[in-house]
Amino acid sequence: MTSVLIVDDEMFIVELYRDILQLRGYKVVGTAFDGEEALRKYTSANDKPDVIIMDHRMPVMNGVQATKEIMKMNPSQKVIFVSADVLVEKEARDAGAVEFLPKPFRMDDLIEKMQKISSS
Amino acid sequence: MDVVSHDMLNDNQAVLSYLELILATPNLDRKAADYARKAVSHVRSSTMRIENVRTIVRAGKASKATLESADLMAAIKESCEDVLRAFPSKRVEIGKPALSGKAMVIGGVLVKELLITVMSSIVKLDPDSEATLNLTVAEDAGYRNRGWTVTIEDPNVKLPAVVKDTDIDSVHTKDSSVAAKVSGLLFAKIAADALGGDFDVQSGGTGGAGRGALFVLRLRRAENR
Repeated sequence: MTSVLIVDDEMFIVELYRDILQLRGYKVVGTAFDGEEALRKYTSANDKPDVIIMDHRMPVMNGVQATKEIMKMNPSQKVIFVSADVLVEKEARDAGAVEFLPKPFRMDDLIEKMQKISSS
Repeated sequence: MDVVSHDMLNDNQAVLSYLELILATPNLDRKAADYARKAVSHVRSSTMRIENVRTIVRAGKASKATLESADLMAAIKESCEDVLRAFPSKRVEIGKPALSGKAMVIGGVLVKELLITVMSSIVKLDPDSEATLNLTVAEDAGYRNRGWTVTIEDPNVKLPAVVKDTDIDSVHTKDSSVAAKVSGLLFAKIAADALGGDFDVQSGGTGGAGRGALFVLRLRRAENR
């Protein structure tokens, strides 16, 4: 089962992703509310998540910075970047994100990206 | 405005997704499904309005850029590289002229952003898995005391009908569902106007069968800058 770490500073968005992913059979192994917490949880996790769903605009450390730090630790980590800031797509991809979804997206779009990553 | 619109898009994300979950419920009452679909439609309209407000805010930055100049040739080179990287799931080819020398135009950093926005919009409007863009650059001595014209042709793009027959900046008054798709072109129009230039879309080109369009961006030459 594909495991997922969800990173977003809005509790209702985290809950939303968890609802969608669990309903479609994915295993949510952790959540974080800013980039620094994500980094901390990622570093201490024995089993790294297969996929990280990463927001950009968050307090303490933003998503691009957190993605860069995670990629330094594990260059093959799969990150789906999700943001309402479409202009941040290039930065996110340069940081190492394999997919980018502009908010608001359709639920099927997220699942399609998850399936693409899972099968690669 | 930026933070507020960002938060509104987050709210729309939650509403849209939960409506989709409701619609995916097995044996959902037909009337309830109709209500949910109508709500989805309104969330999409709301998102479009938020994007339009963001577009206007972005274009507002153009007034500052009128004080700055940029090398059009360098901006073309860099923007092409950015656009080619931005669509990993689509095959994009950009034919560009041999770029030599400098062509200073008014617009500062906005020039590159304008080119990226226009080319990205064309690629998104192109229905196929491959998109081919052909760029030509010409000095336009007769245009507003000399300027430069960048023409981008996509022989395959299929423009929504309303875009062919209407000025880009009035599309939203004709068909709100199309306005969301062409918000990048709307930004280009507003920003180019603010820089003393112009932007327009002409249907046709070499594609035939109702396909193909020319996207023409005119920028003023920067004198003594």
